[in-house]
Order: sequence, then structure tokens, then C-alpha cells
Amino acid sequence: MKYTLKKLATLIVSLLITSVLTFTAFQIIPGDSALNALGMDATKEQLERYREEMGLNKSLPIRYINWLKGALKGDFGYSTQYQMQMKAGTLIKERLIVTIWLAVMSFLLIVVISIPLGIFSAGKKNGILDSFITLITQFFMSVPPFFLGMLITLIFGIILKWFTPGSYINPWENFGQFLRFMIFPAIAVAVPKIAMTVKFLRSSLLREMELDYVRTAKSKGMTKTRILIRHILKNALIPVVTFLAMMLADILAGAILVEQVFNLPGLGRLLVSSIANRDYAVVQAIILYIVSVVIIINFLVDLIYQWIDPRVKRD
Amino acid sequence: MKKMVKIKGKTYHLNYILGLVITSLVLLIVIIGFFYTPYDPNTMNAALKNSPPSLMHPLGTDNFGRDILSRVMVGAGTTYVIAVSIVLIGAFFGTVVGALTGYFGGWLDEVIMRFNDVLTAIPSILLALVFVSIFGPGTYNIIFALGILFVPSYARVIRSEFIVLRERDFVNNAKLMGAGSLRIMFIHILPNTRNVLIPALLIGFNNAVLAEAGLSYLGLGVQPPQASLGRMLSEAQSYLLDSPWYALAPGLMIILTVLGFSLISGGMGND
Repeated sequence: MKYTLKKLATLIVSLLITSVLTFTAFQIIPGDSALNALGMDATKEQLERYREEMGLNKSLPIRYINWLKGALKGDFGYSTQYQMQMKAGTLIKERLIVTIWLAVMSFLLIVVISIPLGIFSAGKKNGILDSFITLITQFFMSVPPFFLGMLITLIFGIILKWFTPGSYINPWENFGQFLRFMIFPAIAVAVPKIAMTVKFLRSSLLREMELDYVRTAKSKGMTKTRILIRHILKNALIPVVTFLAMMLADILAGAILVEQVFNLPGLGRLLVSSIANRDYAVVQAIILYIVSVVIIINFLVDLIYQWIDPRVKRD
Repeated sequence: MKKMVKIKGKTYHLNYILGLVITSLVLLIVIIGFFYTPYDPNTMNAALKNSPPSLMHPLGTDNFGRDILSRVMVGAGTTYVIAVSIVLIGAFFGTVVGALTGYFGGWLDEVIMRFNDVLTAIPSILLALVFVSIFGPGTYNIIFALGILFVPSYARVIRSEFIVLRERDFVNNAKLMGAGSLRIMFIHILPNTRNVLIPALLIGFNNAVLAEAGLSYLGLGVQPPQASLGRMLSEAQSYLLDSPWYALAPGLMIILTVLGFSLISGGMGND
């Protein structure tokens, strides 16, 4: 309980620090946001009125508190990059779903493919297949996900014609087709991470195999496979859980780039276009979103971790 | 990991040798690129738009008729210079911060390390994007942004080494002989961290190459007409259908670079 409370306190402090940093970082940008929003030929009165409406002439701490209040309700102010006035929050809500699907699909691919491969590779330690898997993982760890995305477009989209590049369809229009298209970007995000996870799991398993309890189990006459599945796996998977959770931040980062390759209307593309158009309300909101998600996931992992391995509580 | 090779009485990991070979080849291309390229990398030739690989242009030409081989040579050079600068900035300040906090400990150590924890949890490309959106895109801005973002990882590595090493006899010896703290930290302890520092530099270089490629691919790093591996990939994206060789050359260059360095650092690690 004490451990959970301590972690919870850290979580809240981290989230607050993140919000302060995200807010203040964008205050040091040179330029007048009223002038940016209304254009060069706005009159003095118009500018004054805009500042009054947006609360721009209040002090920094008060503006921060107002911004945070809005942020908690999902209101981040107005986006400036489109002709129509649009709420930054609405804009993000539309895009969020694409990125979430991309991240979830890649994560599932990573778990489903890398865990059996890692176990297999460690079980056949130094065999031909193990060496082959090690070589392949070493190679794929070096491939940037966005280049992989381009290769996938080239091979599966243009040469094999398994999908049409750029034929993204919204999930609420045709969910099946949405999934069929999304599997390709998900593979591009997942493959380098699968390679990393296989390597990590393999060495975690091999380390565990050296331990005394494995020798005891062997001398009791248990078969190798049974020891691997019943005893070693349970212990070796503990560090892998943290590893996978930390990977989630990387998956989100990979998604930002891969969305660009496949032309997906997700958070990453919105972020990049907002940066290019100096649409700071949206940039702030997206950064706050992603960083908060990463921090909250880390918190949950800490909790899960102490549940599966109670030893950590003592540190 | 287990295959060893004997050269002149010393044993090396096979991976290490393989990494050295790949890296030397890639470095050779880059170094030649600094002095000589078959064609001028920025000269356009309307007659040769998107031509496939040929004897005259071994890697083909791009949408402006520029020689891709020349552009890859120069572009890899740009990427390398950026990556090395990033690693130097990160390693220098990271070492200073890590050495001070690891050697002295105390509340400053506590504060800096908590701050470090938050920073390392967030994907560095995201933080780099924040920097770029505040200071604007461009080569120097991404060197500056990524350099700062690399500080925490080096600070962490150096700090944990310093915490162990500061208790060792040779440090006490130096103290008894009247050496000052700065001298102990940077003349006595620092050289002993090389076993972790060198792999960290190599991996940092790889991360910097990937980060540069990512940012330039998004159009936020190196600006045209200057070539870099990421910039070339971003230009090649639109011509994937007609001239796939355009994307393959810079992409493979990134893969070989990263593969070479990670094989070297992996081979050095677990003897």
C-alpha cells in the first residue's frame, strides 16, 4: 500500500512537472500570438480585444492555471492551421483513434511474435536456427521504422499489390478494410521492436538457465522443455514486462514517423503539420497527451511489476 | 556472440570483426565523399530525370537528374557530421554532470537524477520535435536539440560508474597524495570508465543517425538542397513508384551504418 501511494505521488508530481514544462516551453517563443492569429492588418483595438478574450494579458501563473483547467476538460484552445476556427481538442480526438489502433496493433504483433521466437531461440541455444534468428534480429534492429515502411509500401503495395498505398479508410466507414490497411504500418512499427524484444528475452532466458534451481530441476529428471516452460519462463518474463512497457514510448515515437510514410491521419501527422504551421495550441496538446500517456504507463508497469515480483517493494 | 576469431594471438568476437569490416567500408565511402564525388551532388540535369542505375550513374539519378551515388556519399557525410556533433555535445555535458553527481552525491544528485528519469521516459524524437517547433527547423537546431537530449543518457552511465569507482583504493591513494577533487574525477576516475563509455558512444552515434534521419525525413532537419540520408529518403518517398532505387540507396546506407556500429559495440561488451 505504502509503495503504491509513493508511486502515485510520483505520478502526480511528474504529470504536473510535464504540464508546467509543456506550457512554459511555448511561452519563450518570440512573436505575438494575437498578431499571429489575426494577421498583420489587424487594428490595435482588435488585437486588444483578442488578448482580452484569450486571457493573454494576465500573468503567466494565472494563464498556466487557466490552460491546465481547460486541458483537464480536453479544451486546449483554438487551432490556427486551418481556415475554419477549430478546437484543438476536437482535432486531436479525431486523430487519436488512428494512432491508438496503430500502437495497439504493433504492440500485439510484438508480443505475439517475439515471445515464442525468443523462447525458441534460447531453447535451441547456439543451434543453426538460433544463430539465424540472432543474425536476423541484429539486422532488423538497425532498420529505421520509416524506411521499413517505405520498403513495405514498395514490396507489398507496389510490386505484390497486396494493398494500394494511400488507400486508408476511416474505421467508422469500413472497419475490416481499415484493419487490412493498418496491418502494414503496424508491421513497419513492430519489426525493429520485435528484433529488440527477441534479443532481450533470449538473453534473459539464458541468464536464468544458469541458476541453481534449474540444475536442481534437471537432476530431478525433468525434461528440458518442461523446465523451460514451467520454471524459467516465469522468472525470465519479469524483466521483459518492463522492457515491453518501456517499448510503448518507442512505439508511439515510431508511429509518428510511420504515419507520415503511409499517409495516416493520426496524431503524428497532425503534430508534424502543426509544427510546420506554428500551430502551438495543437503542438502543446499533443505533447501533453503523449508524454502523459507514457508517464501513466510507466506508473501502471511499476504496479504490475510489484504484483508479479513482490521483491521490488523492499528496495 | 559465441563465435570467436583468433587474430595475432588475440581472440575477438566474430560480430566485432564483421562490424569493423562494415563500418570501415561505410566510413571509406563517407571520407572519399568529403574530397571527391563522381558528379556534383547538387547539379541538376533535366535530361536524366529518374534514370535507373547504369554504368554512368551506378545508383541511378533522382527526380532532378542528380547523381544518387554522389548524393549518398555527401549525404552520409552530412549525417555523420551531425551525429558526431550530437554525440560530442551529449557526451561532454553528460560526463561532466554524471561525474559531479556520481562523485559528490547529495541533494543535487537526487534532483538531477529525478529530472533525468522524466526525460529518459519520453521518446527523444518527441522532445526533439518540441525543440524544433520552438526554435525552428534546420541543421544547427537539430544538433543543438538532440545534443541536449543526449545528455541524460551519458550522465546516467557515467554517474553509476563514478559511484562504484570513487570507493576504490586508487582514489583513496590519490586523495592521500593530496590530489584535488577535479583531478581525481577527470584524471584518475574518468579513464577507468572507458569500458562503458566507448560502447555508449557507439550506441549514441547510432541513435543520433536514426534521429537525424527521422527528423530530416519529416522535413524538420536538414533543409534542401543540402543532402542528408534522412532528407534523401523524404524526397524519395514521392517517387517510390517510378524510381524505387532512389529510396534504397540512402536507406541501405543508414542500415549498414547502424548495423556496423551495433555489431562492434555488442562484440566489445560481453567477453
